[in-house]
Amino acid sequence: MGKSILALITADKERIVGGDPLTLLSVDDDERQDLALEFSRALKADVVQLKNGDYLIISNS
Amino acid sequence: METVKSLTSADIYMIVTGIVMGTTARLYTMRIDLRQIPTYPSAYFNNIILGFIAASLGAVAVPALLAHDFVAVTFLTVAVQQFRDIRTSERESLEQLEETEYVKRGEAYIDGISKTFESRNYISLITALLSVLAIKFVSRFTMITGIAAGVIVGIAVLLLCYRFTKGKSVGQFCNVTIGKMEVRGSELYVDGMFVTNYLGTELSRELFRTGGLSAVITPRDPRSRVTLENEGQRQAILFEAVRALGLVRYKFMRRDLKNGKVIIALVPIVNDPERLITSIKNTPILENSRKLHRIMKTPLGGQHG
Repeated sequence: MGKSILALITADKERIVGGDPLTLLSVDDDERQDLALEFSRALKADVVQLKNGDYLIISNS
Repeated sequence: METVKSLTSADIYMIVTGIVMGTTARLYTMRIDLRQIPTYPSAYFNNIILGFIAASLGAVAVPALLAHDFVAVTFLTVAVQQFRDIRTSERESLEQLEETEYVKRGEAYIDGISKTFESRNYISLITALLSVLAIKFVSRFTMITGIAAGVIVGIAVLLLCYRFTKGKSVGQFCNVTIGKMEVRGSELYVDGMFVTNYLGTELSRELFRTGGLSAVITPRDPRSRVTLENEGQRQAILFEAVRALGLVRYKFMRRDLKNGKVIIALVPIVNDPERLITSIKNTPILENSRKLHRIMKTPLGGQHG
């Protein structure tokens, strides 16, 4: 199962500490949700909403 | 060439009966395997012809032997080689189709299917061979008696071989029920058991709420878990479920480690719970996942389904 994180969409600047995946900052809840949907559509990927409100875009190959 | 010259009409009847019985054997087993044949009608037709060739090889073996043409018996080794080729070509064909399916069959399932194709041809060969042998045994009676004996023995051999090689299915040692789905935020639960947290978008949650379907597979006893939870076996179950219903999006399979259940959740094109249960129950138990003697046992006159 070749899973990998393609992007992280976060609401908190503190959580951007580097690493491989693209990390986007967006404090607006609706905007994050829209971003996640658009990413998943463009990349045909799965989305996980973390309990802290961040979104993970995961490749579903 | 001497063998050919010594062919009498009795020999021809004998060989033809053998070929007919062997081909019938392939047709009979094909009727049941249709589900596993990749394409219809082309592959179906190919397999009938291959069955005919297998039957011909079996049918000529006995007359050749009786005509003291011992070299002709090496035919049978050609047959074995041909059957192995059938297995290989079937495997290659299925492997190439893997990417075009909704879900992969998985290597274990492909291995099982191609071995079944191989063994079906052996059934053809043996049926033809023993039919001819039976005719030869009663050859001092009339031709009709001989042919009748050939047909009876052929049918008996066919049924016996078929029972022996027929595997079991998931429904024989597992209960399958429709699960109750619940979407909690990003997470999906079936009957209270966690399945996935991939439902991050509102769209995916809505898909599951409106069109989702799930099944819970419960082994009837803890030891059957060994077979059910085999990776290849689970992949085969998922494949059969998706093939029966089609797939809009998302197919999840999860083992519940605490109570040994296997959960399947998907958004199907055809939302038919009964069909989901039937397709799961009818998934064959793969030979390479049958670890338990009790499940492996295929009594000659025993269960089948």
